[in-house]
Amino acid sequence: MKIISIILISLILIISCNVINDKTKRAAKQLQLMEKEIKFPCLKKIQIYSYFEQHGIEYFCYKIKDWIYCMNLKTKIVEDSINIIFEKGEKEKYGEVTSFCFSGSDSIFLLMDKAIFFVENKIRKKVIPINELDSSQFTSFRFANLENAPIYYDNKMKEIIGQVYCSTCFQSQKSFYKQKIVGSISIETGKVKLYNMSYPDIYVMQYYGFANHVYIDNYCNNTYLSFPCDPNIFILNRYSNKYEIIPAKSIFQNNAARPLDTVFANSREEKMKHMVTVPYYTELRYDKNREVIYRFYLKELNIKTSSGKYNSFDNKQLILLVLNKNNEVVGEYPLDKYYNNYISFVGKDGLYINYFSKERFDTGKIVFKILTFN
Amino acid sequence: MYRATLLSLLILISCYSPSEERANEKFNDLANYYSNVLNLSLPKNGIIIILQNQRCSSCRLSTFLRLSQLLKSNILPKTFLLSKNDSTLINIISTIPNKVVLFDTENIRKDYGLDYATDLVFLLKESKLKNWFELSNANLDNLKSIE
Repeated sequence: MKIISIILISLILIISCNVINDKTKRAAKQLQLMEKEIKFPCLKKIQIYSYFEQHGIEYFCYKIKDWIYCMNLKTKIVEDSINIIFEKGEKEKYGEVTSFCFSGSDSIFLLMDKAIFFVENKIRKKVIPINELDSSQFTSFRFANLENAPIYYDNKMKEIIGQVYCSTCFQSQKSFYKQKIVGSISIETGKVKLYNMSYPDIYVMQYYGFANHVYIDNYCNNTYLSFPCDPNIFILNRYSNKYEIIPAKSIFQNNAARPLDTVFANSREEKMKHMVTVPYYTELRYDKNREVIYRFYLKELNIKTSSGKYNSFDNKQLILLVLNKNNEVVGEYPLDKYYNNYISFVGKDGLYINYFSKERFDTGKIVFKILTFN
Repeated sequence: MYRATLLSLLILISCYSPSEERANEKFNDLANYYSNVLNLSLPKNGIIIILQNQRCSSCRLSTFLRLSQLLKSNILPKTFLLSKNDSTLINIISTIPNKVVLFDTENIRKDYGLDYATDLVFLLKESKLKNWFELSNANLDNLKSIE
């Protein structure tokens, strides 16, 4: 009898460890989703892109090979293109462009592996060496866009904001997660500054393999951060250097993300399988016009389907969460598998999400769904 | 009685190692792929190499070259499974004796757990999976031969 009691207590303890303490605020009524669609010509696959608005005109800009094209979102016409190769051997010296952002239509900032370029009226005005080319400042960390943290220009402080990671740590070590992960580089002096923001505690305590991406969006003095295995959103006020934690767990998340044993730190396969199965928060976007945050979530998944086939990351069900200015979740919307959250941005008309369709390949058009909520 | 049952259970659990479980699962995945997709049985003895060469095989050229050196000295039959025809890889493979090259251009192997973006090497001996590993420079560093 005693043994049965011990087993039962242990089971209850194990189960309770997996339950999330949910403090998410939820509005009583869910907002209604409305959707429209736009298409515009684009022959190539886009990976690096940016949005900006000037004098009320909105532009969607994207990089294809060594060019950046800017399309007027209203007229759907490419109004400008910029060649981003300024000298021979540039890629070998500074690396590839991994992110770019605008400050008005004339000024563009390019982030490369080893430099930031400031380009004005299509002329390169300044090269700011970073990372390996400035070892006095970048001793044990790097400033980079690791896919999900595009750079942002803080016009008031004249700084470029972006992601920082520990370049001397293994990703299975706690030190990697204790590193400050948001930084700025002054356009005037080239000086780097790190903010008081590291990975959430769960990443310091446990290992989550490839599910350690940092998703970043910026607006004014705020940097918004999301991490795959943490239901919370973090809002860093860069001016006060303090951050706020916003509970924002999806109602579709049933279990806490399972950590991965560090013995699998060198197994790409186990890390991929882990990523496929765990509940996974991805991009977040701040909408300055409506003062809401959009957050994407990918539901947990069994490694195999009911028919015994293996699942892949693409099979994860996508959910869109919307949080209002009071940090309440005002809606959660399952989206079909053709929505591509990786290419999404906020415009005056709402949240633009790239939508895969056969048509794109048939006619060379890229499709966006524009979502609004009332 | 309860104690004896609990003890047996604990012993059973501790004897079954996770790496053994992974190897068994991998063997079954490979056998199912061979049987359902290729309509073949797994070779009794041989080496099967799955290369995820959807993109940029030249990025991993040094790894492939090191693997080919190890395979050249091995007499076992080798089967390469590639996701597409790739002149860089085919040129390397052509130097290896006793080999067959198959293609899975539809990427059906992902349904069988054989494409989690990592290259795989399997060593089969007497119809059993003797060894398997993910292909990387780090893993190859520890190998003097595939056997």
